[in-house]
Amino acid sequence: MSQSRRTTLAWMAAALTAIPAVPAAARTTKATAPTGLNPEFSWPDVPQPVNAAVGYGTDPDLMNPSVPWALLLGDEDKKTLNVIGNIVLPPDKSGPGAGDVDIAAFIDEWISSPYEAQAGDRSRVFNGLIWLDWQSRFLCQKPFAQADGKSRAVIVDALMLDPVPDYLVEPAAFFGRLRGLIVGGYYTLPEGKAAIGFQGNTPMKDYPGPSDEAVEHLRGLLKELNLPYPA
Amino acid sequence: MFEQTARTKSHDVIIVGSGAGGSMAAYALTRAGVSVLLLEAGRGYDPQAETNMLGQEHEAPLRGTSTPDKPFGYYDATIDGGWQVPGEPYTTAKGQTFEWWRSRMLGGRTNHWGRHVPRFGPYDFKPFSRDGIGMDWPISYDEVAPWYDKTEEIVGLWGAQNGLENHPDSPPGIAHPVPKPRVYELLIKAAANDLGVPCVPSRYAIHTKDRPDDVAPRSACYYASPCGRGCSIGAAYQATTSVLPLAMATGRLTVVTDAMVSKVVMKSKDKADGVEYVDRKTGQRHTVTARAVILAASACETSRLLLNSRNDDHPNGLANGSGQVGKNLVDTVGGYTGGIIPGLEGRPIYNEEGADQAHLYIPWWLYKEQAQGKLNFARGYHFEIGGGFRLPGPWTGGADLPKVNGAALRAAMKRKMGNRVHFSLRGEMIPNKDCFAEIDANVRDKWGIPVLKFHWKWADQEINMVQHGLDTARAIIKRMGGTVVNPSDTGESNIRPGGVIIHEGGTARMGSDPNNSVLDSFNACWEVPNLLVADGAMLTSNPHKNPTLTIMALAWRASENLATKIKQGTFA
Repeated sequence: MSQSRRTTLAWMAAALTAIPAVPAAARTTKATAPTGLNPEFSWPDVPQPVNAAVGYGTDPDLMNPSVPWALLLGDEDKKTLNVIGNIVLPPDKSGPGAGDVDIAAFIDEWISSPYEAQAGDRSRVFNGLIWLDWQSRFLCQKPFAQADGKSRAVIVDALMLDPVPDYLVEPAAFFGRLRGLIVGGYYTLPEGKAAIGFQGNTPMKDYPGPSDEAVEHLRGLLKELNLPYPA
Repeated sequence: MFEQTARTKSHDVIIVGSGAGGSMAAYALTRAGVSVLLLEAGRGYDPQAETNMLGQEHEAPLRGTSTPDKPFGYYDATIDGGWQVPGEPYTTAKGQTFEWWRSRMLGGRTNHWGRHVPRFGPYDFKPFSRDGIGMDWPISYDEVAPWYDKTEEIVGLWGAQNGLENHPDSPPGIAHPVPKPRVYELLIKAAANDLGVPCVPSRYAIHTKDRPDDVAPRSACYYASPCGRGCSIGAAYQATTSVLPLAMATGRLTVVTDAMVSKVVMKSKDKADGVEYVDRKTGQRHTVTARAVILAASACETSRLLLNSRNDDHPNGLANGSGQVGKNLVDTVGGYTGGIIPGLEGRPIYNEEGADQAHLYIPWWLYKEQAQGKLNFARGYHFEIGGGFRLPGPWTGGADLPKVNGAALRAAMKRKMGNRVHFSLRGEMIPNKDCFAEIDANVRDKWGIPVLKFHWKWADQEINMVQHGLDTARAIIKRMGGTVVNPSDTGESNIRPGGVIIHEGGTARMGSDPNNSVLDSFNACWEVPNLLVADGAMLTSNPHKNPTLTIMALAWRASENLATKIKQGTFA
């Protein structure tokens, strides 16, 4: 193991041991908000040290892509993320749920990235997972991954409010970003591409252009816009 | 051993840099019977072995998104390159921004370039004569046209007979058919035309018909892989699948990679003897000699070399008696407008990938208005248009991520796929006194070579142009019933930083007067006739028409002229 990876794992261990199972505020209040959540639970804001892992470099093997950095999420974290994955994009006739295709694996890869662009998401996801467990324990005495469907729904419904109450601003920002990662990760998988109906990445001899159906739609749109079909 | 042989073997010409200009010079010289030593700062590169043509997003780290290591994404062809190269810094004047892209690989930027190949037109070679700004080229379109023809024959391109003012078409028989336009392109065309804005078939250096060849066979585009990855089937032009193997097949080309040239070595005041380079693997310095030297290291790198080659005879930099080396630095003006078109939502899905480049584009069209003084900027721009069924990615958010979950989210994502249109403005920047490169006396790269310091300030010309482009694109988006995604942008806020479009040029410009130019009309330095420049540094002006085709055509023209002189014993 490289020094940089060892360093990364060391700070992760330090960060995780510093997290209380329930925040101090929760032990002294019974307050509940109309959302059903505990508004006294502030955003954990566990500090995220600089990730010392290294990237894949400026000349990676493009034919055999691999992720060289250590992955940071624990099994319970990934279980929680896959549960949320199936809440955001549950299975239906178009395809499997996001959790079913282990969307947590992608999120783990993303938030473990050593690049600066992902650092904000790393902080959001780690703190968000802590916050989810706090609220879940408040509701049903179990962490989010083990919570009952009703408790999960209370939390997710609150995070989807628009606008959100002040005490949910940071948790909702986390959840919005997490939804983006779930959606982006899912629809870039073969299962997700099939589910959305994407057509492409298929070599062909000649490019046929728009299908008859697509042309018909365009004609209708142009008519609505009072534009002629271009010559 | 190979490199030792290269150093001891006698060569007629040394070329520095294997990108668009250098590779074309190597091709032209070797086929003319001249032996060439080609020095490339980066490593060797084999597109057949290294291009992951059909690799999918989920197979790459971070779904292939851009990172500091790979600014255009994991699968992009660029090796050891970007706007920052480890160990090879540059500096900028206080409070100013300029981004300098480099790549360190055989074939240079031709491996990943955009491949839009408009010809410069008659007006573009005589800008000063038309509007009194800048400087005329010492050559005309008519003189260059045959070289465009030859270059296009070997490069390969698609294009149509558009018949537009100052936008020359290829003669019949050269350009391949343009792929069929897609739905969003047809909609943009309809709306643009309704507003009096043209939208016509594009010109890209991509084959749409097979090109059999014993040495460098190239296939027609198969309409699937992003061109920036490079093209192992040779459909999209890159030097490493065409002119470099063709030059190698002559037996007259020797290539040395990992050779970072540090300076030009002189035999006398007006005669280059060769170059000194640093072996990037060993750090050792070597000197190689030839009858002539061609610098094609990229516009800024070439001016850096000239400035770093100063000596007692050329105290301000080699071939810099005019003081123009490093000056007149330009990039293409870049701007962007995006739109969301409700009418494109929920439309029938089909394979809309096409050839990964715009099948239609919007060329500059307001020559008459400009001549009449109706516009507050002097030169033109064009729009490269985009859109299509694009998959959500890891950065999906905002308006692209409806605040619903479950079946409603699935339905919304499917409905929105394909509702975006993009207008990328590419415009002509006029050289100005505030934009130039010089040597930073205080900073050296990892090889000990002094680095460049950039100075950059956009002029009102360019900012006004981008504002006009914003207004135009917004009108087209509105005509399509859409909403603009960046409605509060202004010309000043929207213009991209210098260098970001990666069309640097002008730093050793061609001219008709040694007092205000560095190169003569055949790319030779006025003060050192056996030293030529064959990259973007030569550009007397940098029209909005992407410069690579012109760089290649003029590199070929200069090389044939040089070959004739070498055969005549001019530089013996």
